[in-house]
Amino acid sequence: MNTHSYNRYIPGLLVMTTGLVVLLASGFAFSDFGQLHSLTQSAFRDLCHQFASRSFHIDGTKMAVCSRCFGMYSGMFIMSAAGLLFPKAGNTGIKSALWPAALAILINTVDVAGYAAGFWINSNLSRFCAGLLAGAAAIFIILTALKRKS
Amino acid sequence: MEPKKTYPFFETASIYGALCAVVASTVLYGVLIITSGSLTGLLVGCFGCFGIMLVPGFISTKMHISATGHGLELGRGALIGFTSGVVFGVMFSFIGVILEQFSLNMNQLFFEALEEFVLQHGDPDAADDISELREAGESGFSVGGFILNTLVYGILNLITGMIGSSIFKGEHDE
Repeated sequence: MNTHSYNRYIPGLLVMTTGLVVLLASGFAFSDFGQLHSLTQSAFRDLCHQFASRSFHIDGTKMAVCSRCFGMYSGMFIMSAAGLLFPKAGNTGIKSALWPAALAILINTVDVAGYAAGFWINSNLSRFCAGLLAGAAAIFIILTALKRKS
Repeated sequence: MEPKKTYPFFETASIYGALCAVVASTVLYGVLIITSGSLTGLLVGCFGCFGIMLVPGFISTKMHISATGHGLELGRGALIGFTSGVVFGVMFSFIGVILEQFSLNMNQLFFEALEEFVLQHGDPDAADDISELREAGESGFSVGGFILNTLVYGILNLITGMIGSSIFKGEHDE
């Protein structure tokens, strides 16, 4: 069996894994299972500051990660789903695919630094959008490599 | 068509996953202890540690490609990344438990640094957040949390493993 034939499973694998991360990152805030909230909070403890004032809430329950991290995971999931739904769309080189990632990292760095320096105040929505770009750009690199091989 | 030769990856992935865990722990604990409470310490600790947490997938795929001299399929990159991420997660938690025996609690050190930062910069929202997180952090180690934590590291490094195999494979091809 040609090893490249495994590549058709990659978009599906990406959708499943990133979808699972989004679900865990939501902290199951939409459910009433208190045990799930605390488990997911401890699962992301090392990966995110989890400040309540910088996190989204559903019915008063805080998500397991901050709005920027949730944006990153959501961006990964959305781009993975787009790769699965539109497998033929877009065709570029790996080096060109790295530019959106570099730009997204720059936007997030400037956003954090500007806030820390007191130049501007960002909101949960703006942090979410900045994170969304970073997550989507990361998956875009994988999808680009996938198109070049298939 | 001649079947493509595959190379074992488990050892490489495990070794680099474990190595990254040691480096991440050293950076986080070291910086938080040495620069206790300073903004630099907090930023270096956060960015350094978070960065290193995503690195096992990259490094393992890079090292695998260097060792074999061949490019890597995305699926195999994912497997290598996932393995190194899981090993990283187990090792990082293990180091945390060991250091806790010597009264070095990462959460405690992190919250102290955060509180110092808040005192310097005066963010009232953050002060409330820290006290809330401190209470949550006192719940201690849970097996379920550890398993989910390791799974998250595995998945995130599965993605960085794929990115690594995309980028480094590109280098070999071009």
